[in-house]
Amino acid sequence: MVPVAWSAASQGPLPVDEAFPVTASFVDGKLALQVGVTPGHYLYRDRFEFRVDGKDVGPAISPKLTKLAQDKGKVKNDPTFGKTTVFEKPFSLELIPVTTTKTELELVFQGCSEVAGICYPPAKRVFALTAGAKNLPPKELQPTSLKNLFKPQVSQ
Amino acid sequence: MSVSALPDSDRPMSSGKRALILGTAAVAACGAGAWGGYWWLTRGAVKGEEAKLLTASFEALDGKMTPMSSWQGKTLIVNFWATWCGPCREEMPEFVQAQREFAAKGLQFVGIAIDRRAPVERFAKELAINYPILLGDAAWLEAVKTMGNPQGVLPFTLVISPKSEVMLRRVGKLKYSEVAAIFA
Repeated sequence: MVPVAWSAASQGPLPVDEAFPVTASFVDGKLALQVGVTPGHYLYRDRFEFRVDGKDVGPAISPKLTKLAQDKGKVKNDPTFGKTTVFEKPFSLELIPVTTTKTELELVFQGCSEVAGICYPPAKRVFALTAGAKNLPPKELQPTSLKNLFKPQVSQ
Repeated sequence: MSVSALPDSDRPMSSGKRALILGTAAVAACGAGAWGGYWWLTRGAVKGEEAKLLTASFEALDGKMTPMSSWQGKTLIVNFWATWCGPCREEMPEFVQAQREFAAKGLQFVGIAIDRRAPVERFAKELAINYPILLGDAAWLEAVKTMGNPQGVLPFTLVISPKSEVMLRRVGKLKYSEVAAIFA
């Protein structure tokens, strides 16, 4: 039997959307994310960014993310970054209430593969949601510049 | 891990010696993969794509545009990295050591940071990096996908011979011992 780590290693890193499959839902005015984390991978809590209809809603979501991290996150003693909170398992996160029938959610996340010994660059994903949407996959946005791609806290 | 073969006529070492080194590296890759999955054969490499890299110029930390051709004739190890990448930061002290020990034998490390200037400057100073650090645009994360790094992840390292041909491609960390083996 081929060990999981070896199997993963021999095939190289997974595409980022397979390592971290993300979908969004917009039901009854509630906007929510479903975030997948493939075993052997992790996402940094502090590297999420959220925009709804172009507005940065990170500050509004931050307390929810903090609570979620307390419940489902893990403190990783990173050799270079020190104690860092990461998500190693899938989770769901309710975002903010939205009163319109259509909304656009933009998400930035960044993670690494423990089994492959690599990190993915920050990924930006956009969800075009109409009321009633469930588990909708994103459309990808290509990064245009480092200034836009990396907020200061990502690479300090 | 990936190893890309060079024409024998342009090798900086004998083909037998190279085969031994590459074979050893392949065995090490299998062993490391079985233990922790750090190494694997890279896929999707396109021959000649590295020419884009070797003819490019990058902004150095001193603000000057620096052509990669500056190091033609050296055994060049080009390391794509970022301060936001833990594995990248972990391998770099070994690069500093290798640069110090093998510079006289023609080794030249060059780090291309896919990152912002400020954190790169801080980290380079903190680690006392003894080789050039250049600043690369995020577009290079796309470009490396055709150089043996199909997912555009970091760290990613190319070992390039004095004849400007790729000797080794590595997605994931490169060890000091592997660099030392080139000059053994």
